[in-house]
Amino acid sequence: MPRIIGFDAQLLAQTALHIISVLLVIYILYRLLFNPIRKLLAERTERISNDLSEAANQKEAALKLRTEYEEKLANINQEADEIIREAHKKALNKEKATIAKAKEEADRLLTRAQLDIEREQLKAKDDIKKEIVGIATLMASKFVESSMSERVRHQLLDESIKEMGDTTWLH
Amino acid sequence: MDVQGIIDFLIGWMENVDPKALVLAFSAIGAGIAMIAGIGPGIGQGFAAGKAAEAVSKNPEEGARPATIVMLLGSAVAETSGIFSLVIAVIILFANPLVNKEGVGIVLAASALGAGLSMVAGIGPGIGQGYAAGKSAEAVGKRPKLQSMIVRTMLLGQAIAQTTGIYALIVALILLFVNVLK
Amino acid sequence: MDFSNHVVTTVNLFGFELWITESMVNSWIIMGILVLAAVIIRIILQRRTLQAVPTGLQNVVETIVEMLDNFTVSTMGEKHRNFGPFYGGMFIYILLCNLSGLLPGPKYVESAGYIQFMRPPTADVAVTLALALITFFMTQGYGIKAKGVKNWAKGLTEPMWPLTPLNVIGELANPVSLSFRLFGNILGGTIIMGLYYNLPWFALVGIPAALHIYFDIFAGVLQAFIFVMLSMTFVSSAME
Repeated sequence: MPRIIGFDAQLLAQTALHIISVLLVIYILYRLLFNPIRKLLAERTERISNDLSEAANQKEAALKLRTEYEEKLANINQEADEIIREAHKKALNKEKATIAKAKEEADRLLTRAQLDIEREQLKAKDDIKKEIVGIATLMASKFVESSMSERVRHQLLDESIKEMGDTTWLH
Repeated sequence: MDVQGIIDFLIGWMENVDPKALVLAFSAIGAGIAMIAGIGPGIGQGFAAGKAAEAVSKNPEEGARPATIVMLLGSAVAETSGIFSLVIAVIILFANPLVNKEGVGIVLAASALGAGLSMVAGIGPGIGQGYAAGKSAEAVGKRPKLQSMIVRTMLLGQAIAQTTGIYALIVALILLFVNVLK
Repeated sequence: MDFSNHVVTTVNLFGFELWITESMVNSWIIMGILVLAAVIIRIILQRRTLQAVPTGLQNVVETIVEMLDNFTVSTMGEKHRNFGPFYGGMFIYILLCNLSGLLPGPKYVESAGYIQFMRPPTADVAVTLALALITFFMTQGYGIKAKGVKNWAKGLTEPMWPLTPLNVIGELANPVSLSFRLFGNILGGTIIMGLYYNLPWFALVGIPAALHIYFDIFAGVLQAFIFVMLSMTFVSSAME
């Protein structure tokens, strides 16, 4: 007999049957659908949080490494600067020493050259004097042979040499 | 004029009427009276809607959506008194259990009328639950982050306020289905 | 007008005549649809071997499951997360039952028209009473498990011992109001739609869509939501 609502044992029986079927369908959905997906979501959350914490750790380690290297880098720069400065100083010193030595050598050469030149000068003077004496003697002997005595001849010779000595080297 | 004469005049005719027709007649009156309980949810839900609109205007960016959701929830719960009355009216009209029962005609008729009258108690919970819904919507509009706590408190309070409506429903169902008044 | 719950067959169980009603058959149909959908989704997902980064169907399913989980967590708190699948399943079941008035169904009575729409199973007080009793037993059961029998019994005598009958009736009123709220809403919707379809033809163009949207869809979703949320609230407040 169809009806909309009724309160009797029929209601209790149908209610019990419905309780069983509702619990059954919820259990089936639970096993088939919800659990696998919830597990998947939980795994994914865990994986992401693992990745995140690992990334944070690695970032920390990387930062630490970087500060270390930066320090070392600063130190290295300082060391390099020092080395360069020292080398520079040493090079300067060496330069000065070399220049001084070279100057000394040059001076020495110069004085020696001057001495040589003087000596050569003297020698040349002497040679010319001797030549002139020879020529003058020949001239004089030829001139004086005819008219002068020996003494006058020697006196004339000395005067001419002296004259020649003063005037010849003027040019 | 004696009182007995008046009562006989007013009610005496019922004894000569076919009991089934009497029951049906009073069922019709009972069903109609039961729907008077529509007053309560009307007032309550209107109050809730007004408070929610005010909350939306006070906090448009953040509080609009939570306030609307809370208003809908509270109004739906406030609707239940009207729904209970509708259920009793439908039962009386479509599946009248008293029509084919054996008993004194007027007692069955009065049971139907009494069931309808008892559902008028739905006015109270309707107004009260609507008031709770409106105040909750206002509170959620002010502080949207507390929505779940406020909704939980509102639902608990509304469930407690529903109890007199439940009492009325139970009494109506007993009058209709259980043979108490023999 | 015939809005009643027709009896399809009767079954004789230990000498007791159990009626198999229309709403019972409809509820089995809905259960079958749900189980079938779950199995199909499971097979499709397994064939594609649940990926790390989801796409397409897997995305939709995961979104739904996550939404139900968040709904549970936001009402009951984080530590009751395990109730998520239970209430999620209940919510989907009640939702589908409420919306089944829109689906064409088997013809139980010869006198009906061409297409017969299903009578929602939740328009039968047995179904809603079953759901409400599940909640009731869960509330009391988890309350006893969380607080111990003594504390739970003492909780009924609060705040003063003369109020115990009122507390007991208050506890009993919960499943009654839950079941009747759901029953009344869906039955009312069904009756109104049934009455409306008896009007002459010019009222049947276009307007039924709006009525269906309000009574069937909106009321169905809202009532399912309220039922599950109230169940969750009762269970979680019984466990504190």
